[in-house]
Amino acid sequence: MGQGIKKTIDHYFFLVNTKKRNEELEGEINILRSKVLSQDEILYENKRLQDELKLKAQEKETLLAARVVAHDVSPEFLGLRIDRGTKDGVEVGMGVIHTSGVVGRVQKVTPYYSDVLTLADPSSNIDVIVQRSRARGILSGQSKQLSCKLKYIDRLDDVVLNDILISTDFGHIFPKGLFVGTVTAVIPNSNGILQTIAVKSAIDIYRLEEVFLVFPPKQSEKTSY
Amino acid sequence: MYFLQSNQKKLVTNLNAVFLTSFVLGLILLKSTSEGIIPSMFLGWDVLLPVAIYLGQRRHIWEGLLLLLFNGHLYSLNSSAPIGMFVVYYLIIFFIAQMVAYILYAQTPISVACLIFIVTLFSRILLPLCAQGFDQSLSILSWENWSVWNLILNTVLGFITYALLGILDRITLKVPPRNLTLGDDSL
Repeated sequence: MGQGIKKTIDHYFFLVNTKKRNEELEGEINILRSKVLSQDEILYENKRLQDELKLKAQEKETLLAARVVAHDVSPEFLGLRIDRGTKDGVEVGMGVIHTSGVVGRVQKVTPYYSDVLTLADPSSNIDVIVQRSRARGILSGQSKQLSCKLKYIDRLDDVVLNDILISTDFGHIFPKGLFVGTVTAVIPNSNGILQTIAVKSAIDIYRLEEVFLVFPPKQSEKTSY
Repeated sequence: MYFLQSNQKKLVTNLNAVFLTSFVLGLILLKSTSEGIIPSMFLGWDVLLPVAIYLGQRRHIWEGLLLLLFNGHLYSLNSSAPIGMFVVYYLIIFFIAQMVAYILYAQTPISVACLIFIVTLFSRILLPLCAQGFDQSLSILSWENWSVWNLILNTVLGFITYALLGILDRITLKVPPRNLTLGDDSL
């Protein structure tokens, strides 16, 4: 009887200690989990920066990294503000790219900041080619986050679903061959000479953190082509 | 504010325009720099719409016009839309709110919410029209333009903004504080 009571009391104290230990361990797990998360973030950042360095090595044009500091205040227009301006040599019309593809062009410049007109903005028009068939057209924004339309494509031009659009180097605004978007719908018009093509753009502007400004190649490099 | 001297009260009232502009600037900065922080469902929020309605309802025409021109230009500077497009758009909203004020002076929460909802609906037609005047192609008939979520969002956030502007006016003594007065009948 006495032993039974002793056992029960011992068991009770053992359980109390276990509960305390359990709480301590849970606390430790939470701390370790947050540490793992922060290390994952460092890993992702490292991978992203490595990709950016690779991209930089590939291009002939000089690139300047910039940080996205603000987005367009109105929901219908899709612009970006970056932390580079005339003091860094930025000019109106310069191309802006990302490791995932073309972002847009510089629209306004101030000494410390620049506004970028992105692909998805309704007033954006960018020269592109279909990678497979080399058909050429103009990509226009539609005020939707990821959706654009390809204009001035002849009805007889060969464009099919999932075709990839790439940039051209006309005007030395963008490096040639950068990913711009993927064809999501081709609607051949029964009358008229053009076809309607919907495109999913390469960039989701609301997820951009860093971009690159494309400085056109210098005159000596241009003549060497 | 009751502890202020009469000349200090006058100064605070005169500074109302500065406080209102600071408030609008705060909203613009909040909207344009918080895309990574606030959920993407708030992207359709039009921050200046309730301000234009409020100024149309609660300000004298010239005072409201000047304030809206300045704040509309601030808004334009933070957008990739052509300069002046949003100024024209918000001025039209302002004049509509002014005209409505002759018929309906929105004072109760329900009338304010209804007014904001109706003007939000109308703005879905007006903005693409203004955009076309500035060579921009925004479609009136697109699904995105008539998103029910955006209409509800703008009505709710518009109502909150409208209420905050009312509080700002009361704090800066732009409108007299609400006092309960007992008429002779009730005595």
